[in-house]
Amino acid sequence: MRSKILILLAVTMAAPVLATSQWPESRGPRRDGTSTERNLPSSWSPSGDNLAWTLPLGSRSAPVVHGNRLYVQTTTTGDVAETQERLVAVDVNAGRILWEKRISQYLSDVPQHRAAWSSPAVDPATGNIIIFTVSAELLAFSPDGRELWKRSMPEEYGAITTHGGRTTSPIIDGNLVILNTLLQGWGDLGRPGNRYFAFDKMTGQTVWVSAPQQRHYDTNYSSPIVATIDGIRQMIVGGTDGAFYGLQINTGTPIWRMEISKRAILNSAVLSGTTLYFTHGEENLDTTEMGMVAAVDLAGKRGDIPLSALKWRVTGFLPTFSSPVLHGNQMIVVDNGAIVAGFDQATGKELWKRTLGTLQKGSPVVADDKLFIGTENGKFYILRPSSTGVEVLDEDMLGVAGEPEVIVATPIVAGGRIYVTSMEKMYAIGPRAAASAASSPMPAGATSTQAPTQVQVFPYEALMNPGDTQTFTVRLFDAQGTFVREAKGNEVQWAVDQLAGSVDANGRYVAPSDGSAGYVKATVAGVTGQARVRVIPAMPWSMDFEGLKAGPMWWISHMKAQFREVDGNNVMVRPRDETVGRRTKFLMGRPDWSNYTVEVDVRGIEMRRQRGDVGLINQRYILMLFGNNQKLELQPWQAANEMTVSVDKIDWPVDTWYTMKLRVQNRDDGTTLVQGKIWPTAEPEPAAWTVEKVDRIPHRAGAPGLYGDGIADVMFDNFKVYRNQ
Amino acid sequence: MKTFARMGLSGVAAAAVVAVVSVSGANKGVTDWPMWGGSPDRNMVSDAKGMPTNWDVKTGENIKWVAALGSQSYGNPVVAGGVVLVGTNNEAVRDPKQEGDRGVLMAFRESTGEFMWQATYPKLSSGRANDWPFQGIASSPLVMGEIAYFVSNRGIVHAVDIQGFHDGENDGPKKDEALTGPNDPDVIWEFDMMEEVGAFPHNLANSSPVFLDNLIYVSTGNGQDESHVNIPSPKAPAIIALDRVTGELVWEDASPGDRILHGQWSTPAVGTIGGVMQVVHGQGDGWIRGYEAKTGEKLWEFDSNPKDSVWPKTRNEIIATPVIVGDVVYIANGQDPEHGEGIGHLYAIDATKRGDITQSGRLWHYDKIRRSISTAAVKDGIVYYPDFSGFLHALDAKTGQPLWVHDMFAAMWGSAFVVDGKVYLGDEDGDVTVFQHGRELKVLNEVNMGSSVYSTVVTANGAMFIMTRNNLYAIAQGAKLK
Repeated sequence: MRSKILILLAVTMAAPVLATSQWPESRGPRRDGTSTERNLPSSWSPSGDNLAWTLPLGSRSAPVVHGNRLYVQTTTTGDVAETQERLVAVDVNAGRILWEKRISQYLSDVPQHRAAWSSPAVDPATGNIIIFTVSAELLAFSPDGRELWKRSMPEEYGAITTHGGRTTSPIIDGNLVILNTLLQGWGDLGRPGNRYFAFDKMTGQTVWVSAPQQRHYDTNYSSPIVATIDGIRQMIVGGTDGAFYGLQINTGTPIWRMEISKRAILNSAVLSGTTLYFTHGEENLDTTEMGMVAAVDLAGKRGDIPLSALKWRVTGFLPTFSSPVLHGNQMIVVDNGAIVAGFDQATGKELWKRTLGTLQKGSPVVADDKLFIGTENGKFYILRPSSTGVEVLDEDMLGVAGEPEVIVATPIVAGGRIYVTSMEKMYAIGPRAAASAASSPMPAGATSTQAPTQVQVFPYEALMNPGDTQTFTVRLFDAQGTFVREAKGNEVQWAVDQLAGSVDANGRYVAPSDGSAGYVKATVAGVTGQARVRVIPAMPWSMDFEGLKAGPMWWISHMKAQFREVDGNNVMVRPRDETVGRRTKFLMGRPDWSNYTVEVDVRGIEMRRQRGDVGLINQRYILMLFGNNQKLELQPWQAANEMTVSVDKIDWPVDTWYTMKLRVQNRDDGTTLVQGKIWPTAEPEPAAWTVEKVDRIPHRAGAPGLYGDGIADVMFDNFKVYRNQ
Repeated sequence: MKTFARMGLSGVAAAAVVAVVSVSGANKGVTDWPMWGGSPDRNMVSDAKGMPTNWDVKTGENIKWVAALGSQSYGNPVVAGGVVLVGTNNEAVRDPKQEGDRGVLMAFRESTGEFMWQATYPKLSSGRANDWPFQGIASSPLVMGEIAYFVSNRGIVHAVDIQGFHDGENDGPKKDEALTGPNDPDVIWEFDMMEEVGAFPHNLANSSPVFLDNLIYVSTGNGQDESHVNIPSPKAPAIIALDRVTGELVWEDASPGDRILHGQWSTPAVGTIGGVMQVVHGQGDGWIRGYEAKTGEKLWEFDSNPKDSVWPKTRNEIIATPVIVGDVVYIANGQDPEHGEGIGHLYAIDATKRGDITQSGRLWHYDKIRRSISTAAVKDGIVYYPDFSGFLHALDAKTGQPLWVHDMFAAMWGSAFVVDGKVYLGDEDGDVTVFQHGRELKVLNEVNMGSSVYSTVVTANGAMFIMTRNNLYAIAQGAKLK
């Protein structure tokens, strides 16, 4: 086991190089919205001129291309009661779908029509495909569509996915998969906010988590870029707090921060030399004009960079959604109203602008001295930029008159073609035979001879059963985040913090017999690093909450749990909550549990005509009891109303204990049977189920938990989890 | 507000003011512009004369004054008693003690643009589900006499003195204001719709009050929670009537119940229809409803969506304000701008009918419009209706037949405004286009304001007021801003 980890570690240090003739990630081969390809089409038509093929693969996210494969994240079509995200692999030459993987969404506020928000990332070394769903599930597939590993961010980290749908596109740098998400988890990730994650791309194990933000306004999807500045390999990414950050790529340690807006940054930046070109379309810090197009030289910058360090900036131009691209001496930007403009990279002077439509989401792409832009109004443009303006080489409305095909996705360039994705279709513009492109080999990684000042414990997080063992290793990095070496066994001092169980001198941790959560700490030459450990107690559970004053740390959202004495019993309460965290999921078990039953007693009061709602979570299904609406719902995906089974006219009187029960059983035919019931706690349990669903796009596993919506006080007692009988 | 009743004040003093603001709106916009749409029928037309068709925000030509607002401004200007009131956000902090993101009502002196006072309201702690960041106050106040009524971002209906504490007086009943400086608001009464009737405003409470006699009417904004599949407060009303003297609840109606598609951002209109004083309101289930104004008795309801439409792709909500002309209600449906473009529907409704009048009350239906959040301007048998896809539609008011359509190449949030034989319309790119009013398309001019024009033009006392995202301009023929 240990030797295998070492091999992976060596790969971690590799400096990333992406092949330039492919489009392996959302922002392209160089993560700047450009390609070095030449001889790209100057014209085409949706009716067939210069059109290699079309496929009914509409999406709001751009595809990626690796070799002769195109991968796109989209949703299933047809009945919205069976919408799933899917990863589709296409043979680019034949224009034929090779395979698709369907992924059911769960515990998410993102509705069907905003699913498949992000783009896949392909690992140039292995051809493996990484996707991040709108439910914040991270999955890795082999080129033949085999699932390699997955991480359930909601159940492991308390990831919160919101109605707007914003989901970051992961990147792969060396051996790391990097992304960010909003979460409310446990322990040092207990407070709600945006965090950055790095995972081992081969195993999905967590390598680091970084929390550079103090404030958390929004969700976002600013895909990181990676560069070496002042010898520091770093990712540059826009935060949900309106600041851009430079983070050491190997450790997540913050290098610099530049606050430019009061809202989240949705755009990716681009770098030329050490100058960062960036945009936002929201509130500025120091003027009532919204939006910014700006440049800053990052050489020598550390800590907080003030606005006064900007080389130049333009305000009043609002590119909230569309990221910039560099071309020649210009920075080309498209604003929310589909006005494209060219700015002088040296001075910020607006050189030209042109109206292309009225709404814009996707980013411009430059290749072969051409500018490719699709507008939300359904028009796709091929433009030739010059110092004074743009010449329209080609302009096509997708769809039929009066019903244009909305374009949200950014076009991509690969193999001599342009791929345009509308919400309805994908168009492969260019020659019928795509130019082939080879993968580039992974170059060797950099190491440092400096003294180590950072200790990284691997894996950074372990989810364990009672009695399990986990052996941790230690990697040492210098102050700039460059890898120095593996720590030797005898130089590490190990300890546990807030965690039951014990760790020995070899970093071997043995979990206790019951639930626990905390940290394993490793100290090398006075420098300490830590890993997070969560131990989930074995089934059956029977919690009467007696004696509890706070939620146990192994619960996701434990900080939101409160306890109160009611009629001589200690009960869990979600009191009336006037904060954004009003709707809270307490996820308590393992994401790989299945075929079990959960029960809980619930009670609620009325305040200002309103009553709170309560829910019971089992295997990613929620049985929800609505106080105001007096109805019961069985929800496979809360935002997907069409999937919900609803029972109206349920009685749940004010201030009265009722018992809810939810049983989920996987069946041999591939479906899952989900059954729920409620009854007055004072009465015997009825034999019949109140609500039932046979799910044909089932969740086959998931953690148990509770849901509380404290618009008015709701209470829980006697929570039980046990294997189906 | 209860104190007020005990003080024995009656509506008599205030009732005298009512005559000033006539429901029919004769000579509208010649003197004051005291509410959204200038009159309770909300028709976006003015009887003023001599408005400039050309002005320049850079050279100051025909610009009387400019006042700095926050970074986003959606509370359309009203002008009354020598004061201009607008709703904006707090990005142009005028009081360092009132910092951070807030909804702001700002008052300027009409003659000079001098800042007089402001009322600021911190964001709700419950966050964007109820109170979206940086949207400020999006209610256009109703001014009656010396009192302005508006809805803040906190879901509260406020009655304030239009002079603020600028007049050195503390008008009551509420006299215990925390802030009593010369630039602070003098509060008369407040009605908290979240506390009193359980409203759960979706994203922002934005209703612009309208009145009849002693009652004022506002939408509560009740809507979905952040899950967007649940109406957390189905018992809360969509519309309420308050006694404008006491601030007490007089009637309420919760017809949409838990069928609200999203939020409720349509604002009510009042008019005499078939001899009955009616309040007309576009509601969150996509229906338009008419109420007997005094009692709140529901008279009719009209479904603005085809029965086979599906939210959110083809089924729409109503954000536009209904416009009442004679016995006819003109209104289009649409969606939250965040949802982008899509198909829309515009109707002329015979509101003398009763019950479900979706069929019986439909005078005409125009389905060539795209989603719209704009409000109609109806003049000389022509309906001007902008849509969110950037098209201005001019239709025959009797038949609904299109007369002409003009592509503005930018999204429209505000409404076309008819004055002195011209039509003024602003767009997201900051262009204000001036058309000849008439059955044939004729563009007279296009003026760029330097920032998005989400607002609708208003006129008062010889000047025209145009609000951009972050500035308020007073425009008058012959004026020159240095």
